[in-house]
Amino acid sequence: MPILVPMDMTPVISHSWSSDQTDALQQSEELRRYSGTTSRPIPDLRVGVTCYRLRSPVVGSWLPGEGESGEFWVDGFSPRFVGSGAVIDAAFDDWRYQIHETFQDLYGKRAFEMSEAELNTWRLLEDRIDVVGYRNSTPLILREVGWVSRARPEPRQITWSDGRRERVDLEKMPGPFAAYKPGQWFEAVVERDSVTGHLLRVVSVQRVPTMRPMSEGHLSKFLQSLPGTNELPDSDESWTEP
Amino acid sequence: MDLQKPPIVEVWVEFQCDPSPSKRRWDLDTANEFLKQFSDYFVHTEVLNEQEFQIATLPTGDRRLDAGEVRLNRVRVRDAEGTRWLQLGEDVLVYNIVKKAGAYPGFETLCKDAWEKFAAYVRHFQPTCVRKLRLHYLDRVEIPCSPGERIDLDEFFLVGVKFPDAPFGALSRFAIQLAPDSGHADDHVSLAFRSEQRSADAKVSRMVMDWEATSANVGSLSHDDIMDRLERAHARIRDCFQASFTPKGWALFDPIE
Repeated sequence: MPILVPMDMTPVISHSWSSDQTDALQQSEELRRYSGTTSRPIPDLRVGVTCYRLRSPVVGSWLPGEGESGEFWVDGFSPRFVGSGAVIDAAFDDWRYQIHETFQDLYGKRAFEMSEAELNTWRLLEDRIDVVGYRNSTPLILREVGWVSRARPEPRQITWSDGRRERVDLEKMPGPFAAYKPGQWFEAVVERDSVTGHLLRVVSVQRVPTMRPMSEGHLSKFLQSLPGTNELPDSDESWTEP
Repeated sequence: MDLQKPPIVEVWVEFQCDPSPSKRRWDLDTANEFLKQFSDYFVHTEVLNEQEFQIATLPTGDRRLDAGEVRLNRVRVRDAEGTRWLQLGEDVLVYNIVKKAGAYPGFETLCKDAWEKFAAYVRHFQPTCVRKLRLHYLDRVEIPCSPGERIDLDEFFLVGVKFPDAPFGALSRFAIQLAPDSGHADDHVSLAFRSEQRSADAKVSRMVMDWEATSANVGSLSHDDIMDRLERAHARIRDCFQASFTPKGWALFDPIE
């Protein structure tokens, strides 16, 4: 039975005790009863409140090393991501922190900003992690300014500085907001659904002085008072020649 | 069969019991009551729960999610090094040894340690008998290689699967399960044999052999009866393991002549 040692890892089978795919129920029962401690099913990947949904569940395997430290391998993610630690828990944590760190680093980059190695790593992560699901389930955190335009009857109403009006449930607001009277201006850190823009909750609020739009005259005077390019000093230096 | 480099990663013994007629409800309190006697040695605890969800489509077309109760599957405790594990389930006790740096302590040590824990289980839960025993070996065989090298598994293994070169070509991965007929209705051995990912430096090709020997209808709580069945299970796995390799494959484990 010849086997080719792959140049790059190409997982085509999933780890499971029973390879008999025709008897899924029996297999699920076997997995439920599986008593090994060196394998760990990973349905999704969580670090604190951050959740990366996997396209399909994976199983990690703990490989005790010759020394004190062992390795945690996961089909599809290794050998690019291999956890290291003295016990399976520590190695598993190391593995998920590597994924978390790399994902967050690359998630903030556009493809043209990535090196070839980063691009390959991102493709690997995209193949296994539902990136669109992650984006859509990760709330937008915004700083917004508004005022209480109605307090009674519940739900209360906020008018944001851009004119949007929104009804808010006290359950979604931090405690101090309950004491705000109509007309009170405040600044808020707001979590919104990244797809619909719906308010998920307000993390914090802080009273701010009343803000009013400038009158035409004031606005014009203010714009005039801003420094312009005509106030910049003259220079003999050339910007195009060395 | 003395090997300087046995491929064992993990081995465990599982005792499945018929419960006492006055069995208590299986929950975390029940489990902790038993496990607290080992808390000095088994310092780390894991709790495995399970929950079943059913999604029903109503005549209106809406979907309703019915969440079942959260049930306790297992409580697992382990020592500080992660080399000894004790797992308690409903009518199940499992004792695991994970090999780390140093030698595998051997089957005798496994039996002695496992029996000690099982005797405590019997005193606490008073099962009527052992229904089934499972002895499980997880072996990881590492074959030195270089990236892109084609390895002929027939050079190392006598177990495997035959297939024509064309149109299959070389395998990149495989997984097979073998369940040989032992000739005994109550004793079975099975092998799950599969390839694993290459090592990070690609200098080793890894194969995993999951051996499981099951002894059904034990029907006893006696030390001698249980040890007898365990030794038979062990002998069956050992013989099958030994017969699975060519001399070149066997040499991977540095046998002591």
